[in-house]
Amino acid sequence: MSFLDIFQDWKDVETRPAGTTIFSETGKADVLYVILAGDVEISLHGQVLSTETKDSIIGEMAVIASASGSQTVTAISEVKLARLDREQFNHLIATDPSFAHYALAAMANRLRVVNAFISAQLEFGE
Amino acid sequence: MDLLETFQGSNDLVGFAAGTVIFQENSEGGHMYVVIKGEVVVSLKGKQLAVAGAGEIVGEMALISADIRSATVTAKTDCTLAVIDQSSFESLIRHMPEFSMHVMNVLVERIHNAYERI
Repeated sequence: MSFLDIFQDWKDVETRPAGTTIFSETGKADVLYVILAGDVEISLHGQVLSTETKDSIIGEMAVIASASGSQTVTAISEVKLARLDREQFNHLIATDPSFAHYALAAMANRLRVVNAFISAQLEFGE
Repeated sequence: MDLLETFQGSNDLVGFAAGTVIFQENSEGGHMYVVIKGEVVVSLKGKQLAVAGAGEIVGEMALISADIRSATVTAKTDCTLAVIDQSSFESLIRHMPEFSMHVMNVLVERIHNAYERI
């Protein structure tokens, strides 16, 4: 069984229509979501950094480091989201190494995307 | 989690002279490192991104996502690093959740720093 299967029966599920701002770079957040269906766009200062889809984790930065905002996440289709608060997230990290690995990989990927963006900026001398 | 305390007694310590390239961006990587003594510079395309000192980690990205190196790391001073290979990394994640949380916090900080540059 994939650890992602635990979210199929997750009690706290939200559905947001296309166009909804799920997180704002100027807002506060203390939950994260695992995308169960649909697509979101991650942007910063109006520039799109990436698109995330089913099984992706979004909003983890606020939960891990109590950091406010930092990026904007917008639904680009109707999305179904499993909601986790800090306590639930920490519990999963402590009890399910595969979830810990998955969360680490999601963040490493986020960093790679933003580094690639910066790298392209450096290339063009901005 | 105090990585310096955890890894300074490691059996797998390696020394680098100041100026040595420890690993290069876009190369294959199978290890991450904890800085035990001295400082290293993290750079991308020749631009310095950060300096890491005692207790800080470098090279974790290649282990997390089994991908090529995302940055170059060079010894700024003579330094000693503890080496963590893939199997030790997996074992730490499995048995020490605080290690996972520590690495996540480092990644959050790096993402934040990167966002500041956009």
